[in-house]
Amino acid sequence: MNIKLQTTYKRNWIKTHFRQNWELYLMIIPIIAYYVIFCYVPMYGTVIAFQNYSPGKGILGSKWVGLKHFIDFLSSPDIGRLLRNTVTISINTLIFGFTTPIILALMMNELRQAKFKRVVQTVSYMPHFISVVVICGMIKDFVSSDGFISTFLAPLIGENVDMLTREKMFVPIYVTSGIWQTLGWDSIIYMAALSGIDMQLYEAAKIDGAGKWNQMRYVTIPGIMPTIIIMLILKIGSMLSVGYEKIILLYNPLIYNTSDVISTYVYRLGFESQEWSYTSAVGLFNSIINFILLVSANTISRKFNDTSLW
Amino acid sequence: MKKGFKKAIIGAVALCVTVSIAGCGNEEKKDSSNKLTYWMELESNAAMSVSDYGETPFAKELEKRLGIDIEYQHPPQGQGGEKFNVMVAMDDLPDIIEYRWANYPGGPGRAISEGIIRDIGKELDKAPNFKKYLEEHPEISKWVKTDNGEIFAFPFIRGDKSLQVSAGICVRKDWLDELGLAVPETIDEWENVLVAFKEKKGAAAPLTIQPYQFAWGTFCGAYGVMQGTYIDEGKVVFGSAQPGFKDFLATMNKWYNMGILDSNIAAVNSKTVDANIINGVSGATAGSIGSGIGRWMQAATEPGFELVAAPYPTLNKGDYPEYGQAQSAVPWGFAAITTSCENVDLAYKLLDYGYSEEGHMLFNFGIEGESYTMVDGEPIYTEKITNNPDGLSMSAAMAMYMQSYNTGAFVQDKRYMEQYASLPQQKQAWEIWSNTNAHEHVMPYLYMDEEEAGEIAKLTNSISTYESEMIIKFIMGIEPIENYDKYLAELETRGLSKVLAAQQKAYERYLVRE
Amino acid sequence: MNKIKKSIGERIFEVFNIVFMCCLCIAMLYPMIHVLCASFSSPQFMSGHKGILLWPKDFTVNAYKLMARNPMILKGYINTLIILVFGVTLNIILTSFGAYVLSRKSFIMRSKIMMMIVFTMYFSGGIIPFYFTVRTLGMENSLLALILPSAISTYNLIIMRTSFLSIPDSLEESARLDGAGHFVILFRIVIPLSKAVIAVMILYYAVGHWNSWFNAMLFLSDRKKFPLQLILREILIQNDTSMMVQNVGIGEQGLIGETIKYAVIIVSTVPILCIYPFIQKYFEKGVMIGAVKG
Repeated sequence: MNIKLQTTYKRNWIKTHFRQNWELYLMIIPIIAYYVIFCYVPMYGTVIAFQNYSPGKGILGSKWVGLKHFIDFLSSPDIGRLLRNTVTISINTLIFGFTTPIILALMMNELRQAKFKRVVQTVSYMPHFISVVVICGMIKDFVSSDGFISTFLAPLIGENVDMLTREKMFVPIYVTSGIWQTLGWDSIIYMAALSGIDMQLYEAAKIDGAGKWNQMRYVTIPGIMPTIIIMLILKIGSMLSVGYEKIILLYNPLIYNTSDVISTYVYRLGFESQEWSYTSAVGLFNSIINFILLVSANTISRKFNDTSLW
Repeated sequence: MKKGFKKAIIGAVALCVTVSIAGCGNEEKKDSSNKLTYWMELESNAAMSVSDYGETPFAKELEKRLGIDIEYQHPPQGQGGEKFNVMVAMDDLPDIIEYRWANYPGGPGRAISEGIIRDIGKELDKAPNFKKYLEEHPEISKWVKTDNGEIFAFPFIRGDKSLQVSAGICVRKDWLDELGLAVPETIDEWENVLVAFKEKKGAAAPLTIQPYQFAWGTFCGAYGVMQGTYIDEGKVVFGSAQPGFKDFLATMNKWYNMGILDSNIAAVNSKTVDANIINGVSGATAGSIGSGIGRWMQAATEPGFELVAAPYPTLNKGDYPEYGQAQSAVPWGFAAITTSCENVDLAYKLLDYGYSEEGHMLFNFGIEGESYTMVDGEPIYTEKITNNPDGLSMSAAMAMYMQSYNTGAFVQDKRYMEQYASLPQQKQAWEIWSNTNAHEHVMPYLYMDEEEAGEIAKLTNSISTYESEMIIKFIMGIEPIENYDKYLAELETRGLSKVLAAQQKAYERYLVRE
Repeated sequence: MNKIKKSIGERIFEVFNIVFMCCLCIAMLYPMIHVLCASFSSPQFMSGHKGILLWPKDFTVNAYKLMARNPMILKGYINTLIILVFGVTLNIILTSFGAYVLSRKSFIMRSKIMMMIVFTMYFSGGIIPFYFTVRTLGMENSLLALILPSAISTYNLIIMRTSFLSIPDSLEESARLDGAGHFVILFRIVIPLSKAVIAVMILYYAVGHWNSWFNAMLFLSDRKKFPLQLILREILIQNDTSMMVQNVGIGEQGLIGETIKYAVIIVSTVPILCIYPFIQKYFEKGVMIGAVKG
């Protein structure tokens, strides 16, 4: 009896829910359709990581090899170095590349001169549009033995050298130039978030006698906190995906020790032989770790902050 | 504002629907009577003037002569590999595919066994001219066969050994003359010259070279080795593990310490080489006939600037250089007939034409009276090619009339190159750099067992990464030369013998190909 | 705003801020200036050049002339524009639908669907199954193949959802009490309140479409449909000196190749840079207040 009542109650609840919210389901249908058709249906291709895939034979005809490619990858002689460098580069990029756009956005927010602010914004996002090849060409010029950055830093390093031939310099060069190129672009999202903060909150803070610093601390930063946290979670979830293009353009055999990462290794391998299966196995390995990182970061965030991706 | 926004959305949705409907009517009809589809990458020079190779006078002439309607298909430039893979995976094959078939994963034999392309060997009678050429040139015949003796494609063939050579070392002739020095031939003479460049001409990096160029045998040839994998007396060898390489590294280290070798050798690339040579920072480097000597001579603004080729250095004066740069006689561009081709006879007719006498002239020199004229029995390019009235560069003009400057299913003629290398220094370089036994050391296409292929590729990759790292470190003295034995040991743990054994086996299979 | 006396610390900060921003501008502007100057410099000069460039050397427009000779450029602009207009419209509609639904607390499956969506950021089937899907849908060799498969970017969807989440629930509740449905709430309340994030989305999506070439390479065989970036890539590759090692008489062409890559950047960047000023005005403070009160 009791159970029956519960089910009728539940059924009724569902009915009212649908009647009130049918539009939501209508809206979500195209989204689900998109993800199913373009993401989930093709996902069967992942299985080539467990095969010796050959385009001529197709996925159905190719030979299954189980975890062979994963084992091969994890037992390659340079694996320690590859993982270490990948992690070092991504942690540094995370720490510096993630915080600087926020700081820039906050500083821009404090600019009083509207025109100047616009100019700064427009200029700061320009480098994002210049191809990596050209940016890397400039970096190489600047840090070569007679480049202006090496000359400038010579007293600190002790000698005037091509900085890209120094193992220790690679990560700083990589990270700094990355910030140079993406700082303005990455700060756009925070600028947008800042514009959404209710001005009344500032007025209230002022009445309470809060100075600039306290306004920033108690109004501005909490106002953009959800955006910051979501961006951080996403960044953590892409830890192992250090792209190959920029590194390929910058590194040289002398500094492989600090610059060779998973993606460059795969790139070099793919260059000589088309190892479809191996490449996708490494990609899958990367994705799994990234996904685990993302889920952990999200769980932590949900616990302490109530902000979550899902 | 809000209403406008809504309207815009409705309008956009409506337009999207229209576009999607319009997009559907794209079925192509295929008329298979005398039509062939030909897939190839559109070469850059040709792409400067046409977007479809069928528009070139060459293709029109070819179609006219053979009475075949050829529909060319081109992947976007630089994306041939991706497009090829998708095409094969989708089983979406044109009749003829010109591609780097020798590098097909698992070897071209696999492409035949997977049913992608036809084994031409079985039907060679359909291509009489090609058959005749192979019979007359058994060494070429081996290059286009798989280990099972199948012929996988109609190849591009360098018709003369000298055509296989395109690069070497060059040096500033005007500096040499000024200092009263001769073009250096031995390692000791080189040292002298480079020191003089440094002291008297103020060159900061007298010799600049990109480490991959050691694979051409530059300088290391004097010590009886090349960098990389090559053939030596019937054996596949790995240069930097051969006796002699240690001495070579010691010399380079010495030069590095003397400051006559570019101190930036680790980070040097074609851009820095350009800058060094053109600005007189360096007096010698390695480069090719065209994008090296030709380009630098044109770019330099310094009066009197002259680069000449130097012979591959030896240890003792008068020795004949053993090692040098040389390409395979069938370097790339293999035109294969796919299993989707219905008009097989027509495809054979088309592809065989390049090896006939008439076809030879068309592919190498173009159309008589338009792109060449016969003078004393020799084909000579007309002004249209050498000094194009529309301002096209020579290669861009050639791209319209012939394939000799590039690749294709035919035999390249030496007389093309003789007219193509326009500067006297280029002609001379071609001659000087050809004076080696490099041809005997060129690795043919080796096909691994399907089982081993993947593993060997991974080992090779790991070995060559380590090798390039260590060569630089030895040269710069970061790794003392005494550690060379440790280097050998590490190569061993990375599986060098395994790789060499597999390659040796593959090479032996090559030797007995029939 | 009433003027409250600024403390010394605040004044120092303001001066520092302006100086710092000026330095930043110089550092950020330099790459663009370099590219611009290089594109107008003579190839002879550029091939031997190292270091800072602040003015074109041996002014020439040869690189642009060479590009203009390519008849496809204009066509490419038009194709890209078509893709941009339809693509971005579709992007914004779908993304705001998704973001809206997934930010509603009343939507019961939101957590699961969100998880399912995030999952696709990490796991994909690779090119071939993707190609197969698109071909099965009959979109091969059609501009649709460049619009539909990139209809939603998960990353952008997450950003938009985060922004929608920060809109107070009370607004939705009072609208529901007035009898408003979800479409009305989305278009009348949520979107007007989120102009800044919509502006960012337009920018992100537009730049994404503008720069993309891979799908075009994969799906289009008809050159008349090529978007600008694919054509520019071809020009770059044609002139890439490192690919010409094999050739012989390539002197002149090889030299122009050095400057053409800069000209390509100018041609491909300047139009998209022009979007930003239009979008910027939505970042100004106070936009939200007016909307809430109105």
